[in-house]
Amino acid sequence: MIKQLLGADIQATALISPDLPLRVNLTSLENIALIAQLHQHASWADASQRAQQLLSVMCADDIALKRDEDLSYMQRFVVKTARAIMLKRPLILIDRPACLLPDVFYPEVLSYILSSVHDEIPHYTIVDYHWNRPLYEHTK
Amino acid sequence: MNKSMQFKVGLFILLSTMLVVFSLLYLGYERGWFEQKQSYTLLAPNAENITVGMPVNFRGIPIGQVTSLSLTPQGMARVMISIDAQQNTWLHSNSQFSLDKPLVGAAKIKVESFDLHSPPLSTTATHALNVGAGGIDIPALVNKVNGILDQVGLVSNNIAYLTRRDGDISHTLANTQQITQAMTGKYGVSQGLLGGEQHAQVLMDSLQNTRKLTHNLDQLTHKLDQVAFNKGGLADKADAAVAQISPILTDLRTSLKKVDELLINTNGLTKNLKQGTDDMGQLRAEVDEALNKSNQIMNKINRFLPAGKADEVKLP
Amino acid sequence: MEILLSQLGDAVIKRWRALTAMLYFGLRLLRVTFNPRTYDSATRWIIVKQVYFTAVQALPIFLAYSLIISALLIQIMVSVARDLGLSDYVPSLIVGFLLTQLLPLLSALFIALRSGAAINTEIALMHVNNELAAFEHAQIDPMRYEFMPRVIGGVVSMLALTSLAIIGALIIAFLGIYGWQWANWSSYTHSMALLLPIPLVLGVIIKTALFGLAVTLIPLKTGLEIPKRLFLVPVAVLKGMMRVFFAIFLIEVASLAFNYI
Repeated sequence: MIKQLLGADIQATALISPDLPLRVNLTSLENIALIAQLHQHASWADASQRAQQLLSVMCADDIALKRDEDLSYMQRFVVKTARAIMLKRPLILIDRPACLLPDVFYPEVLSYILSSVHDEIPHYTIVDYHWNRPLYEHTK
Repeated sequence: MNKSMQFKVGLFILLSTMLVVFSLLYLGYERGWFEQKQSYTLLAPNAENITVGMPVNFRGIPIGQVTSLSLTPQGMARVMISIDAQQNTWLHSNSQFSLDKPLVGAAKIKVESFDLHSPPLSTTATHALNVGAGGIDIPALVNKVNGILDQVGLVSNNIAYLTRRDGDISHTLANTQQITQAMTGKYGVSQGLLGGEQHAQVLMDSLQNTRKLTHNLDQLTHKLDQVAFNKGGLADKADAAVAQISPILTDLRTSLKKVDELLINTNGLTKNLKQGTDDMGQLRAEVDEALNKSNQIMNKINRFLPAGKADEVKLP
Repeated sequence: MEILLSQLGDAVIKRWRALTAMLYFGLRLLRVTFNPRTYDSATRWIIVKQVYFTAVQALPIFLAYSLIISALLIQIMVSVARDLGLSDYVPSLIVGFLLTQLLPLLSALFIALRSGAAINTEIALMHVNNELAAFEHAQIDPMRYEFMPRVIGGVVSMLALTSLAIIGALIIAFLGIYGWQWANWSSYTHSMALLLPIPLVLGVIIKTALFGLAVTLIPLKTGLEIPKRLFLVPVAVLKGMMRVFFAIFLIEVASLAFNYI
């Protein structure tokens, strides 16, 4: 859905979306490192080190070897964020966080996670349903 | 990434590649890629049944193969063979090459060297290849075999006729029994004396003949046994052997007819014997022996000609 | 009548389209395979994983199974041939029937049932679960990262397992014919070597590679063909396995025809 809205700009955007799941038969670490391996032709050692670093920054060291189905919503969100960061695109777009983090008060969690990787993220936008607007105002 | 998985896969790939490469090299070595070859030229009237790649055998062991076939200006077939360098010690100036085409299976070229001390075979000269009478035409052979099997059927019918219940043989036996009973009986020798000396002589001659005949038959069946029904049956033998069998069987049939007649004769004579003859003891022994022998032959024939199954001898 | 004809036409066109799509897919895959840039660290790792799951993990059970079948068949051939007085033809029977036909076929069936089915399910689930869309978004070519390694793994495993089975059967055949009389080894290998001309060996290698291609490529493509509905995954597996079955027999029949006609 969001893809149609973005049109050609999709190539400049790294999406964190419920429509783009993790690869289930890879561990979190592999899911993140894969991007660097394929795009930057990094070796496994470099790519995994970088991935591990991103996870540590977001306080999620322990999930590196877990697979998608063993992750909580928040952990999955962290991995997806790390994956989006690895793409090194100018814009990171968080698509419907309400679907990504249904079991927490997500505006707070979002701001916490995004601030922890502030150095890595050039620019980000959150796309959410308009009826959730009050939630964000509450945090500010 | 899992180091042990990588290690196992690497080990697996390495080992199986090594094994395959080694096997292929070994195959090449066994096929003689790395061996020195010695080429010889053979001449044959025709190259029927000879193919490139056909093995050349010496005493049943392959030592080389046919490499090419071509025609000479004279219209002969030129067969080039290559012999493994280590094996050409078996080829001598008096070696003979012949085409060996068995009834079943692939043809090969056979080398025979009789004198292993004569000089080695020249590689430049051409040598004759004996292709024999050519290949065996299996349908024609089957036809011949069928004809023979028909005859075998007739023979076994004859035997069955001879040995049937109430047949001449049983009559003969029954009569003999009567005679011997009579001899031990009340009228014993006197009954014997009643028959004329002439009758007895005829009988003795007949029995002598029977004995000779049965002896011949014995040899004949023995031969037949060997030729036709040796291990593997008729099909084991080549054309020539099959051709031999046919007259033998015809022979056997006529011989058995003779036995038949003789037995009828003997039958008549033994009936007369009730009236008596000179030397009953001797007669009895003769009759016994002759019949015994006949019986043995019959048994033998029966053994290798199971009734009704004769036409089921199969080619493998 | 008209309906029947149009149904027939429809069926033929559908199958023809499926076949051409499969061939096109195979062609794209080959192009990726022969591009040296494809082989970066991630792709290599996936290939290693595929070879591990298809060949190494299955190796003990596969070897046990192929050796038992070979031993049984060779024992039967040897004893029957001995009874019929045809012992001379046992080696050529072993080569012509067991080594060049049955063992490649059995390993193809083994890999098709074990890995082909797994690949089919996995790809279908991946497809339904949008994981491929995620790849696409990350500009990762699934052809390169997911499909090609599976096919390479399948072909390599197929070749490796079949050659191991054949070499094992050759040793078993020696034991079946001569027992533990190793003195006969050289004459045995010599006669076997004469029965295995290079074109035949190459033919078997090509056939085995084609089997490997068929048992991985077809499940892959079939898994991708279904609409994105979870309940259609079993249908994809069923369809893929049927196609693999037909392809295996098509290759086998073609090789037999090529060898004996």
